[in-house]
Amino acid sequence: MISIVQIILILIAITVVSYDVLMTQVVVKNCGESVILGLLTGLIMGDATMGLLVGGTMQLMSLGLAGYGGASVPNYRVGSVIGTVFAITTGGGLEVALVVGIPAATLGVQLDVLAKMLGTWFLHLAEKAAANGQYKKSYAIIFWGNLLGGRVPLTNTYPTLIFLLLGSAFVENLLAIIPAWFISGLTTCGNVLPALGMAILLKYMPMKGNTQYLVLGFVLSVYFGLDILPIAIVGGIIAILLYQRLQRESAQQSVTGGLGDE
Amino acid sequence: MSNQLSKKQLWNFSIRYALTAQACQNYETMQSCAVIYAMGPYLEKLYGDNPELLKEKFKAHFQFFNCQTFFGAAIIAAALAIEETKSEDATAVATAIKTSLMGPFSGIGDALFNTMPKVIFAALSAYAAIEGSFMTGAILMLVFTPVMIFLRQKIIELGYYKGAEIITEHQDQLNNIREAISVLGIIVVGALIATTVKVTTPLTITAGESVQNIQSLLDSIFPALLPAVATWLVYKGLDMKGMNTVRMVWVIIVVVMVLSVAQIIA
Repeated sequence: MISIVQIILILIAITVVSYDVLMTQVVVKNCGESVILGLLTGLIMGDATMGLLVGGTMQLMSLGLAGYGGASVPNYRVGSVIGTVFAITTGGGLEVALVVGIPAATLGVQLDVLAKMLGTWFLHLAEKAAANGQYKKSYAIIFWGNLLGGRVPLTNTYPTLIFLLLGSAFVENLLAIIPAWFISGLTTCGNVLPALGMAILLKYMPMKGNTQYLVLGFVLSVYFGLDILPIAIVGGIIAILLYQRLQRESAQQSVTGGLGDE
Repeated sequence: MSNQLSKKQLWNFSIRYALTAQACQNYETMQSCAVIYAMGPYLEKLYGDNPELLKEKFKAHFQFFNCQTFFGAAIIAAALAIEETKSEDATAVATAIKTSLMGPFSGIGDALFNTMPKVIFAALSAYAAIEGSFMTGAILMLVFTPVMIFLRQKIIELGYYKGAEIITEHQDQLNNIREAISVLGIIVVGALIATTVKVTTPLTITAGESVQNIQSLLDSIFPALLPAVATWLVYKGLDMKGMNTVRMVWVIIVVVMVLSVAQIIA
């Protein structure tokens, strides 16, 4: 069972973490927002290790799924919190977390679209206030509209609250009707979904003429068995070398450009 | 350029922008509410003596703006510096700077402050978390939070004090940084494909008496072949007409379900 105090603490956690992910962007992105939320939820629910396991798994699924250019993406923060809560309360562990968490995360896309539509309404209110010279009112609409009706509450706090209120009894009943093949299929989905994040990342990176670097990373991991950190260090060294070369090339270009002018 | 804000006042601007960076984000003007929230009080101070002009300025800065938020704040700081010149075409110049720079700087900003932290740091933290430890995450958080705050402020100061010139002058250098950091990203993604995407097959081949497990055969020749194939298929699939991220999530779920029930993958 989950107490009211626990619900409130969880809501505070997801609101603060989401605020940092979407607005201030300085703290939680570097250590994994889903990891942090899994941990916090786990601590609140009394099983930090389970929280870390669920959070870490959700984090890996969401790698690469950043909302570039304002795109809407599944919200694995909600997935992490809801997954952790029900993994602990039903005693079903990671499997339950994935069954409940993945659909909860996917719902984030629809909610994000809704929040951005509502954003248009706040924009017009704020614009109107400014056009009348009521600047303080305009700022207040932006600040409070964002805090109470923006993407942070609409796609994070409110859906989390609803899922928590539905409760473990609901989730347990749901799990009882869901056939075993579906649950194991969803677990496999959880293993394959990171491929989407990787594919999207590759779409955003200048792959043209750079495929060899992709192969390098793959080979270092598969055949050399290196962890991500040493691979990142090797990558960092290559990046520095490349940067120095590019800088030299730019310098040369501007020199020859200058001579050409004379 | 007549910079009027002290470094401390610039902190205020910076915090106002950080608090509302993507506030009321919408399909019409994206992040313009944050621009107004951060810039507004300074515009009021500058043009308070001319209410009609001030309204015009607000109207202009309520127009479309969308950028990675660190560089977005720096571009808006540069736009503010231009408004401080009080020249007649200040708003036109500020708007031109905003619209021409938000695209390229989003690219650099996303690579530096979104993709990198997520792919490298968050992945490290996630692996440790699955093993039951938050040490890695805690260290990353303690080290990189101050670094992020410092870098963000430096970029904003650069935008404000050095104005737009520096941004255009150093375009080359910034492009080179982006190019180099992308290579680092690609290498890491190559490694991540091998480790985060997990597809195996329970299929077996029976040749006479012996039953050969295909997965163990793969493991001895090309261990992460299936993850690589899965990622390649998704990568190519995203190019399909009418395909987007959300639809792809569903396509993956359906295909994986079918293959998993048919005992082809696990």
